[in-house]
Amino acid sequence: MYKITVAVALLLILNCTKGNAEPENKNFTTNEEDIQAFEEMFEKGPQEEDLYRADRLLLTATGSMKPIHLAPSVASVITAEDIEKLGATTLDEVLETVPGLHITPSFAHLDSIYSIRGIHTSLNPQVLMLINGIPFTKPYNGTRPAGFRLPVSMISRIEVVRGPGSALYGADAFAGTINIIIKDRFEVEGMHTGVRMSSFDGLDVWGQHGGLYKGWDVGIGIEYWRGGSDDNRVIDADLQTKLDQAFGTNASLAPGPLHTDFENYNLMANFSRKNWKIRFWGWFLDDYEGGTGSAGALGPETNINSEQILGDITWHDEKLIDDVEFTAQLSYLYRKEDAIYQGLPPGSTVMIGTDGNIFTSPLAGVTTFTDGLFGEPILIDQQMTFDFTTKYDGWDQHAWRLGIGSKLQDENTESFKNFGPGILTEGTLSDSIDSTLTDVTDTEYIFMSDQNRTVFYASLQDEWNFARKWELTSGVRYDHYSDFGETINPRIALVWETRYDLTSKLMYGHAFRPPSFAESYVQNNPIVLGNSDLVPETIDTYELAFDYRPFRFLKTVVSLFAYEIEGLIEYIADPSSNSTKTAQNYINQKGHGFEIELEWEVMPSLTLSSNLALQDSENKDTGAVVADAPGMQLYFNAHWNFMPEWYLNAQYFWIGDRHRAEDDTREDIKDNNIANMTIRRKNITQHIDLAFSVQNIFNEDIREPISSDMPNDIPMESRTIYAELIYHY
Amino acid sequence: MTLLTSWICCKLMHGITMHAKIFLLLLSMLYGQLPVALYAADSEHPIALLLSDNESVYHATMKAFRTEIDHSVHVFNLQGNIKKDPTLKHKLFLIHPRLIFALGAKAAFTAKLWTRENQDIPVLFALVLNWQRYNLMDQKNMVGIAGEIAPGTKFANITIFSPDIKRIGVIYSSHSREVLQQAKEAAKIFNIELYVKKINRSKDFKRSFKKIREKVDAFLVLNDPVIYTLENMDWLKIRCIKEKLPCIGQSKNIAEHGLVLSINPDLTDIGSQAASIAKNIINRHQRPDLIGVMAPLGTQIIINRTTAKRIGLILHQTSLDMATQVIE
Repeated sequence: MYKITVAVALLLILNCTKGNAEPENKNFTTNEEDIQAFEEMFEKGPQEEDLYRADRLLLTATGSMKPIHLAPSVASVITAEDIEKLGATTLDEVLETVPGLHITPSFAHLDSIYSIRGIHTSLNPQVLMLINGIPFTKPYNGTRPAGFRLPVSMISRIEVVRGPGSALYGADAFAGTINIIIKDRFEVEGMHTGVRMSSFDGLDVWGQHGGLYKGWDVGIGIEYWRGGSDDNRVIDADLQTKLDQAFGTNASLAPGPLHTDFENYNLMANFSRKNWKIRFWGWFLDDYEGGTGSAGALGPETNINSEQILGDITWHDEKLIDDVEFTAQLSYLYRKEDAIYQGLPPGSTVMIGTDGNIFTSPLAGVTTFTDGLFGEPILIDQQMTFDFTTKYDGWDQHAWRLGIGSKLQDENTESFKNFGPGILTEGTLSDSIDSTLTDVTDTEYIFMSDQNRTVFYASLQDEWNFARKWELTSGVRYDHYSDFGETINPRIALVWETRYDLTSKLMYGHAFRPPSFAESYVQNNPIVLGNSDLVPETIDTYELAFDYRPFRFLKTVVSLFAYEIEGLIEYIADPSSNSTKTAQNYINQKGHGFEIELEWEVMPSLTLSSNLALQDSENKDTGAVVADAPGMQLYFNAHWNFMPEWYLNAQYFWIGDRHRAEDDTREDIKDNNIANMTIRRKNITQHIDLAFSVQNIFNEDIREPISSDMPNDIPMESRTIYAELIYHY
Repeated sequence: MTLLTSWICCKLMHGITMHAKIFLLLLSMLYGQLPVALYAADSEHPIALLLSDNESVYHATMKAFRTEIDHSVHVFNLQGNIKKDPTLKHKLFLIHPRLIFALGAKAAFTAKLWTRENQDIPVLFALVLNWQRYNLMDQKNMVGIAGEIAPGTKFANITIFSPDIKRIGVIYSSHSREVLQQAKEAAKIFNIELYVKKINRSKDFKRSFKKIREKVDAFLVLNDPVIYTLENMDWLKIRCIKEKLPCIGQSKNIAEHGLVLSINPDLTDIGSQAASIAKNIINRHQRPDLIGVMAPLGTQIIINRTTAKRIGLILHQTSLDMATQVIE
């Protein structure tokens, strides 16, 4: 019996042992043979599963369409659809959502400064702006046209590359490149009309049409935009307030509101057929009141008019020779700016120097401008560019791009004013001066003589796919300027598809910005003077970026950067003068920081996106923190399709950690908190879209830093409301 | 633990009656079997679901499969590479899978490698585009659902969508050679002429398209990674509108991107179909090699009406009724 019991117990042991389901000790580790077979199958050439990838395409980084995650740059692409979702109505509102980019008004008539990664100067010409890939920089001061503001209805997409781009675009692609692509026939197709009415007497009306006519794809559009002044934007004290204190006068219009009324017309016309494209883009600004005027004093009689026409004829061929693409482009830019600046208000009393200029020394006397101090500079700028590009991809794993071209820049000036050299001389100086303007065109007293410049350039770029998932993009561009000589700008970028869901990028770029005509040649100006000895500013930028998309509904991008700038040009106060500043290659700057972007499709109807940018930039020589540039920016956006055809978009911006210049003793710059909300109903009766938006919902007192001639920072728009109706058929 | 329990049992049995001994022994055996029985209910026949990576396209299929299968499902993820987790194979076999359901080409290929010496474990694959390229069916434990709609079904839908389409252009590479062969055979049945052009590099796509454009009245985009790149599709979208050419793809992405029509499998239906195949194998002991690779049962037809309008294609009510989704 005992034996039976033992046998049963053994059986039991066996039973219980089976219950512990340990794996049999077979070969359950992935062996080398498996790995080899896997790699042979999947590690060479494109893979089927790549088909599941979706991404936006970027043109600006290499001159060819490339998915953003593979592009050798840190970039953002904002499509017309995104713009509509955001409820943005202007280019600047769109750009503010880009990580590391902040828009702030400049001292000069509140024109936008596109501050990128701590590269922040008084006029900020360090950002290259393109329309359809063609620069429309104003050679006078390297910026955009005076009073430039652009509505978004004609924009197909905006590509923003943060970091240098001179190896492809040459001058000015220094801190970043903003490429605005205008809609063509295919994006318009049919008729689109819209009207938007907003606070402060704002009105925007547009119409667009796209169709096929006699074999030509035609896309045309016209837009009228009117903006008013927000009376809540009150300037407490200005430069004239200081003068009033000095001379015992009462001329200042401060406290008083900023005057920012304007009218703007936009035109687009695109024609394409077979290998040819002909495009026109027109931008016309009428009667802009200029905000802060030109000298930091309220001057409501300021009147800025600007017209700009950009046209190009482009020929593109892919058939002529196998593996070769040719593109030839001739573009012409015409710009005329005629601005009457009321530098000081009526009754302003100022010191006049012996040279006839205001504030200069030695002193000739004191006079009162009974109607105010006026200057009317007229700039007529023409630029002709010829660009020829060849792409060759016949060599396996390589895509070559060779570009050559030439640009002519011609700047003609006229000037009328009631002050300054040639007008107020020691002998003729009277106690009072009226608003009669004297023509100093073609005299030595003009603010700048006519200027021109010829640029010749050649560039070479290779995209070398040297191993599966690895691509090395290297490029170099040579520029020869007729005025200051030559410059060579290389760049190199390594892009590695580290994993299916992760791309890593390591990039280096060298870029330059030539001195503008004003920085080199301005004269007879009471505030700023040119310097013909200037040399181009240069920057070396190093970037490391990771694009990680662990799920299709989650996208994250982390980019780190460090840069060093040599010879940043700024207007520096002249020790020998009370008022003037002269352009100098004065600042050597360094900076570093990072940006994090997140985009999360929580559910098909709800997308959350956010970005955070931190930067720390300083003067290399003195260690002084770069003034006014935000050290930290946070952006949050939620887009919710809460019912069929109903969309709600909420935005929140936080701009902070901004420092004053070392010698500026004013209080710290206030952080900004801005919340916007837009609700949109689309396709009412299939043809009508309606939107209602509130910007700065909580009516925050938003301030942007500005020159110390104004004791307080400049107030931005208070709560703004708009209603929009779009009809498309 | 078990050893100790049995020893105690033996010691205890010395002083008790035969009936009691038999009762206790049966009880002990039951005790020994209980965890086995419990384990078997949930874990002895689990299904291992192996994913190629985190691609969300797998989610709908996975969800439908889990809903319809009556076995527990353990999910494993290759994270895009067999080398990513060297212990993954061990973890997978630790559960003694009754069947491996592999989603995506990498998962299917890996499952085949891993079961080379364990061919008693069936491998069911799905969402493998161009499955023929991977020689998946040279093992007797392999069974699958094709990643594309059968060419015949595709052509049937195309002819209903637009009866005027008689000549279709196709660009292919070595990746899609087999698919093209099937398409050629199906085209004959529908009296459709195929104009084909082979390329080896993605960048030759534009040139080849231009060469066949004049000969065709529609263009079919294959799920071929050499052909279907974001750059090529972006270019093709504009080209098809300019040329007023119906361009047809096989993924929802492509219709959303702007091509006029997409005919692709329904991902949820693939999950249900896979569950049904798995049940037949597990419960009815059907042999995988006899099932082979089935065509996906559900078809999604997505029409981009905006593009249709642009290319001047008149959509009859029949076409719109066929559509699973109409993109405005």
